[in-house]
Amino acid sequence: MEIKLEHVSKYYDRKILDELSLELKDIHALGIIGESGCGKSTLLRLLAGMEKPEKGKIWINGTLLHGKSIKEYQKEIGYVFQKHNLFPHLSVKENIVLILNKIKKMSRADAEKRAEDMLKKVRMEAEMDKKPDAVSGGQAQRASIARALATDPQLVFLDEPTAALDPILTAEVLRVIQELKDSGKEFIFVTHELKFLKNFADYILFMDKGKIVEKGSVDCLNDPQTELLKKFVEGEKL
Amino acid sequence: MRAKTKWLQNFAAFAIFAAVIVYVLLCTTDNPRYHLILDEKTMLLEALWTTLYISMISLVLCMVSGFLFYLMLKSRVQFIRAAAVIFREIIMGTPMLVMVFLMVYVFGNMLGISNKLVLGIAAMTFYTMPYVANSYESAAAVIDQDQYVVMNLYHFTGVQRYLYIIFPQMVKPMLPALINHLSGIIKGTALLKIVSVPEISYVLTVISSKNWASVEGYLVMWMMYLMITIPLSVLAQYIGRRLENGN
Repeated sequence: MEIKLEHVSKYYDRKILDELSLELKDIHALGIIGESGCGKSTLLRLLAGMEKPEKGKIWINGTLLHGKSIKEYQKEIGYVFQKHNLFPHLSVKENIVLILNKIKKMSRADAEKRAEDMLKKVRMEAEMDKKPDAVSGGQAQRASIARALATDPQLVFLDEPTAALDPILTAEVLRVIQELKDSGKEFIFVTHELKFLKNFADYILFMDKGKIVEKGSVDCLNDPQTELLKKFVEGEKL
Repeated sequence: MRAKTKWLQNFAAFAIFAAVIVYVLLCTTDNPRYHLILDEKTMLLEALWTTLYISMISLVLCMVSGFLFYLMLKSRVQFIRAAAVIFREIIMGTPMLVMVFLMVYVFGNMLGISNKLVLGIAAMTFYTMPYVANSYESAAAVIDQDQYVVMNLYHFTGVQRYLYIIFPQMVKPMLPALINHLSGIIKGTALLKIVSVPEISYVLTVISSKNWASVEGYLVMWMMYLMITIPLSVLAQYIGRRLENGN
């Protein structure tokens, strides 16, 4: 995957991202880390085309995220949110079938088959006919991973998929994500789980106050160049 | 035991009100002559039917126009939003009696429509429409922002959003409110008597005037409305409870 940022800034009530510029090539799993409020989830949403920067340009795999190109680009991505964001009135399986059948125009039979296969992959076959509020948080998050992967995206975004889960459910979800590593897909993710980050990412961006403070291969976590990353790694280990 | 006590208390409450109503029916006049009213069974049944179908047609029209009105309130165009808000304030501040008058004698004349039944239904629809739109607004509030984020990500069209995600989730909170609106419309039809639409109120006024039995006429009218609205209210509560329990 190739990522290029050119003077990207984003504001809400204050500056969230501050003139980010970056050029990365041949990355398969990019991990974005940093303290809460540093702008990492905002950067993830910008990279997914879900929000637009106030200033600057973003290219992913050569595509400038702008105007109509965003719609085409988003057809090729999957996104796993912090919360599962499943539609509560539909069963876990129907959440996937709806996207495939009604939005992606796959036949009903093929959509059902694909949904069942994806749910089996995340070990949710026994729960597929239950509504999201009838399964555990970890199971719902696994179902949302299945939904994100059901459209066979080349690039998958994960926005702290375990943020709302307790340690046991976190382990359960991370195990499922870990299994996707060799799927041939590319990942951009935000996480607080250092162990997972080390096992999953091949490149990291460390952010602080809207800026990229340190970047490099995942090995830089073992030998931080900045005091901030050093403190962050030590803090996360505790 | 607890269920039995609850049932007894419910029965006691019902019995007290039933006794009050029976007392009112029997003792308001010295010599009540309900037979003079009830002998006109055919007219009464026709009036009941007229009231029900005016109400049902008005409710269906309210649901459609109330939804369009709700969309106007949510429009991205400031002018449409402002127009909808002003219209809502005007309608909600207008008594239904005045609305019926305006519809029949002002807008009916302006548009060259003289059918009072049509104008009566229009009055009921216009009067109830903003309230139905408010119900749509409250019902839509159950759909959290996260769901819109997902719909945006997958580029749902406007129709797909409403058809597959928003409407199915609006049904639950909307149903009891809609039944209450129907109940309000049914009671509101009583005002159509001022333009001689042959609904319950008008027909009972005619029958009671003919027989010099206006007190009995109003009491029968009261009973007829209660016979329609109480089952509807019970139905609304029942549906509300079932939906709350997720059935």
